[in-house]
Amino acid sequence: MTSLTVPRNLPLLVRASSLIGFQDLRAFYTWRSWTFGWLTRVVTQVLFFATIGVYLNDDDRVRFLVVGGAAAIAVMEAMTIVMLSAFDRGLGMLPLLWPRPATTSSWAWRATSTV
Amino acid sequence: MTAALAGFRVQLWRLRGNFDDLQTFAIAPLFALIFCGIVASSDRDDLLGEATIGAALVSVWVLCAQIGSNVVQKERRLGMLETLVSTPGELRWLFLGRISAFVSLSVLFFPEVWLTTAIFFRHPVSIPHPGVLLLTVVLLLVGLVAAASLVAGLAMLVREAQILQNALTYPLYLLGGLLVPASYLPDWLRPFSRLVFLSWASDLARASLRSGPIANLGTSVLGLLITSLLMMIGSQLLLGAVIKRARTRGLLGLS
Repeated sequence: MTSLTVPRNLPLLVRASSLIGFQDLRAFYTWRSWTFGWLTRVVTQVLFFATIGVYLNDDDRVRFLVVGGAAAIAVMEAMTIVMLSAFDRGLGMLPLLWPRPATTSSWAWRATSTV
Repeated sequence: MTAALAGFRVQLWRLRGNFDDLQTFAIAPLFALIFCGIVASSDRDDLLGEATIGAALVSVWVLCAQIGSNVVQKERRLGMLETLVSTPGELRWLFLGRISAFVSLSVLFFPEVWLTTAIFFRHPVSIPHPGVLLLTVVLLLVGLVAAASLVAGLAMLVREAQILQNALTYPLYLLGGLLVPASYLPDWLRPFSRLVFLSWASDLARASLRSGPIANLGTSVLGLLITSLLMMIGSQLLLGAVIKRARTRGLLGLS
């Protein structure tokens, strides 16, 4: 059974995995595709749910849906790690990530998703 | 036409056991639960029908954007585009057949979300105008095939089709009035909304749930028909042009 222990080289791991996260982000998006593709999409996601509150003619519901919608996006961003792990698997990278020293990959994934 | 039929058959065959392409069918009930949950929590059970139809329309559009992008992206990743282009059949007809196979399955979203609402909210949505809903779904399918072909054309042009697919979700839910009628959008956005076939389809689908005569039925049907047909023509022209461009510049697998 895997136990969750904090690795001794944690700062190094966080730094390295954050770098990986930024590089992944830069490889996947350009500033234009991020702004007009991703950012527009998440902003309209919040607006979409907010308009449901407007349709219900309920101001409290609008506030609830805006805050909830924005929070859901933060969760969704973190959950992209699931998708990235699947990509790694599809590209045949998972077997290479697994036999790494210490718990690099699990920490790397967490930091990457946070980025 | 033979290429389109072959594409249709191949796509149905490839769908067997391929959960990746069918994941929207697992997501559709969740959309229904979310939308119905929001209206039910505001004690607006009268809107459960609209929320249910909204969930079906959102799922249909998710699948549409996914197909359009995937038919190009998956072949590109496998390095198959060059081979497909070199066959006697025209690539855009093959795409049309494959897209049609997918889109024809999307009608299943309607009973799926209806059952979700009936089971979880104990509210079997009644449809006073089933004929109107049926007509809407048929015309919607034409529009979806056209829209997915347009997405495929755009996916041929851009490097990362996944970003395009993502960008086409929520902005179109809003513009298409999939859950909240487009009349709730700001004044300056409404004309743009009318250019989107989904806004006509969602108006018609919602109207089919209301008892009594339907106002402006002819206008809505005509609007849906015209926007779908224009998009079909535009998508075929775009696909033809981008395939030709990619062939002549040797960019099929790279663009």
